Amino acid sequence: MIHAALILELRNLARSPLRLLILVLVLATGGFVIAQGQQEVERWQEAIATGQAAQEESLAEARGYFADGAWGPADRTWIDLRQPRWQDSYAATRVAREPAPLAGIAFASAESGAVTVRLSRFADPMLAEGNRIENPALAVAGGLDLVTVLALLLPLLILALGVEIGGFERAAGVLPLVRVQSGRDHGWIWARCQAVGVLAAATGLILTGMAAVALGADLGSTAALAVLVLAYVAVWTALLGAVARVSRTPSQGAVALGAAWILLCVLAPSIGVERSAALAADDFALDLTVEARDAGNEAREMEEDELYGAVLARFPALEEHVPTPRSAGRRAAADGMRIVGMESRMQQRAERGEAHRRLVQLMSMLSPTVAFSHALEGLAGRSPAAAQAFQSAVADAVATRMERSIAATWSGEALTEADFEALVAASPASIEAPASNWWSSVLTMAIWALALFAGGSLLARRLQR
Amino acid sequence: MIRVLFLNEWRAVLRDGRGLLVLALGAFLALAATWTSASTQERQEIAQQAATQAARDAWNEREGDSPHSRAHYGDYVFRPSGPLANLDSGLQAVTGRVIYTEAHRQNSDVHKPQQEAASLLRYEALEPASVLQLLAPLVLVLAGFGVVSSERESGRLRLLWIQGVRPLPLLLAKSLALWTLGALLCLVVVGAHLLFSEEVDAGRTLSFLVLHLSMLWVVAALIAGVSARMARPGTSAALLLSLWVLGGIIMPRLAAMTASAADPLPSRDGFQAAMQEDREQGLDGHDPRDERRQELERQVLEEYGVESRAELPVNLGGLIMQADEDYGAQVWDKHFGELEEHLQRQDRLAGFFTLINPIHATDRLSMAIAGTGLSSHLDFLRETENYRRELVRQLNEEDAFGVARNTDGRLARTTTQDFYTGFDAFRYEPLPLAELLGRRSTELASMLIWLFVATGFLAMTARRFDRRGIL
Repeated sequence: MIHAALILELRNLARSPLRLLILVLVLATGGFVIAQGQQEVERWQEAIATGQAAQEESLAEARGYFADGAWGPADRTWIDLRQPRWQDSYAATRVAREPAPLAGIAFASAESGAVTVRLSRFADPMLAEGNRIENPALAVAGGLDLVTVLALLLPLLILALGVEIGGFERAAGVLPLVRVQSGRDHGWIWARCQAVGVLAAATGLILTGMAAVALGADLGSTAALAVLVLAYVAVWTALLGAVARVSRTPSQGAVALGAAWILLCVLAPSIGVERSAALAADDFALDLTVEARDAGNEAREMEEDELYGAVLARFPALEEHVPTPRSAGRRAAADGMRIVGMESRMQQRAERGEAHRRLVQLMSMLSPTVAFSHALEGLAGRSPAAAQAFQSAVADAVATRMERSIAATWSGEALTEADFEALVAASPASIEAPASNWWSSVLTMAIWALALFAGGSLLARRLQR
Repeated sequence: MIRVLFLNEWRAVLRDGRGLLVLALGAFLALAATWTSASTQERQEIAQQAATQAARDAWNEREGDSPHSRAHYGDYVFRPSGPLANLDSGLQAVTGRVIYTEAHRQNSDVHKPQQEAASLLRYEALEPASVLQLLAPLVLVLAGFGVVSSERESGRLRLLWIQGVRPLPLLLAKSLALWTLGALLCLVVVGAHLLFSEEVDAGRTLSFLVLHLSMLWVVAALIAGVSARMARPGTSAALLLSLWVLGGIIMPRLAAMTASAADPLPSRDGFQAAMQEDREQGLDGHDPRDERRQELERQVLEEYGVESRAELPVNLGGLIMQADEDYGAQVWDKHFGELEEHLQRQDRLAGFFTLINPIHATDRLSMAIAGTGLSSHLDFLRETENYRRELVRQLNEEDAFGVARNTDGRLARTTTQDFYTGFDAFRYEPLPLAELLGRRSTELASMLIWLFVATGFLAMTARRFDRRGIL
């Protein structure tokens, strides 16, 4: 029966200029946003390359001084590369956030974390900015990328192709004929829905293939994207099936499907956005700004025992470098307190962010569209989790830098070119996007599809009785 | 006749369970959105004031600084909400809340606290403005897609025709009935706003109401016109829902993407590198071998008629710092001016899409009225920079002139703590409504055109049926 239904839907598609137009629009928009995504990834990589060029310039300058047997520029005599602070300054390595293989599919993501951070012992990854200057007036529109096309337009395609299924058969009196010929009128309606699902899945997979080729994605990411697209199509096909089984006229079906689309794609996510605004209402980052600045000053006024105790608790390996008298190392120890403070702030921020993450999870359960777009952003490495993983990695690198700097300052020995090279070598060059947990979204969508299928069947049986 | 038809239409809505349900749901969402939004904005304003006070306390309590150290210590500016942000939060979710103001450099706005829920930010928020711009038109579509076509299908239209009802009064009455449905939601939103808000800006609130009532008239007239032209209610529903999706969801995104792709912004690295390069041509205030510094030193020595720095009655360092700030201000004006023009160019380009989309026009005008749009954001950034310049100027002048030579000829600082505590905190006065609306002439023209087009469409539809007699 599915074969016959598929042929019928293909014929319907070929005969209806409106449906064909919608299909072409979805494919053309998808192709356009993929090309835009490709450019966005190129800009991302350019930002990394610019950072690396600046890094090489700084390293080359320092190496030039070493080669000349000097410790800094002749016209700035206070610069001395034997001192840890100047080695830290000249070893201006950049930590790059490498774009995930499918980064281009989610270029309109609201996540605007940094893609390169200049490493120094005082760098603050929590206040680092992204490589894009965004026009907020355009960003607020929500953006149009492949995630939007798949999340919002693919269901509309299913709605456009299947809007008359069930309602048309009942209104035109075709169902008794089907029942006589095959004995399974609901089977026919479901087969038509599946045929529409197959067409939508094919469209989604074509876009998946285009994205994979254009963005040079690996097989694993492409397969994950394909699975997510298929799961999402399954949800909307099941929804189409549920509506088609009960709608008496095409207009009833149109209104029901339209209402479902609005509820799942607009209303449910919008409640989440409003709730996240409420969660963020009192967050003016005092911890990252006023308190962080003043904590740095307070560290300089701490009692010596307390100061050394806190620093050595964070960096136990520094125990062997503690200078005598300890007052000689006070300033470096106070610098070390910056790391203690930064890590504590990061921890507090992570706890604060937990409420937002729980909200996103809840909204993902309530709307398969949110589950789908959230999973796609994760797959593209453009999720808050990816930004946070990068921040954490940079924070670790900053802490390592600080530890080396304190050790060198406390030991009081003049540093050499070898120390400089060791410092550069110990700095991470790039951080990969973390693996995304897209399977949970597939599971959510599978539950939605099954629930809709079962709900539709139950409702149809009840109405039949 | 219009009055009778209008009342009849309302009776039909009240009798129809589905119509009532849609209306009740719309009113509930409007009320809930206004209440939650007002509560969120109130908390936000309290937190903003607390943050400003915390920064002020930190500034006042700090002791022992030289003016230049204080300039490096800097101050934080926390973005206030717009005057009508509880009706339309505009760009707040995508702009930073904090700007660090310090000597030598201009920092960007940072900290977007909704970043942790960034996956949700690609969708619209459920706030009063979006209820009126997205959900109210949808309520009208759902209530009105069959407003004429159902009457035609049931044969009632022919009966009305026989009774002497003319098409124009009929369509006007039906449009008015639909519009009052939307107007009711507007009144719920504005009424709740008046109820829940502590301070009400009457001019802005009235403008917000008029804007949305105008947009809803456009929507109501288009719905009645489309419904009259479609043979079946199903076709009318499909077409109107498609138009709603296009106008409310797809077109604004397409407009943003087109503007961004047609006139891309520079990368942050590129922008900062260009600014840094220009800045380096000036004094950096810390480099004693700088040629400009030497020139300035020569001028100052000449002005005071002395031979060396040691004889100067002022601190040369403060004058150098201020000269550098003046130069940096020129660099910032040049680069930020270009960037601002670029942002506005993109915004204007996106604004042309309002000519084909009245919902988009309403959205942009609504943000302008609420003081949460692009012009307000850029004005806030400019005012913050002005505050930074004034703060640093006063500190540099104190650094230069707040000194006296003591008996052994050394410069001693005369700055007292009162000098620091005498600084005023940053205060932002929102741009006046007239100025904000003046910058949205395309959108205002677009709304006027749409009012004319929608009413004209209704009249043309009526004339068509009058001529053909086939209501």
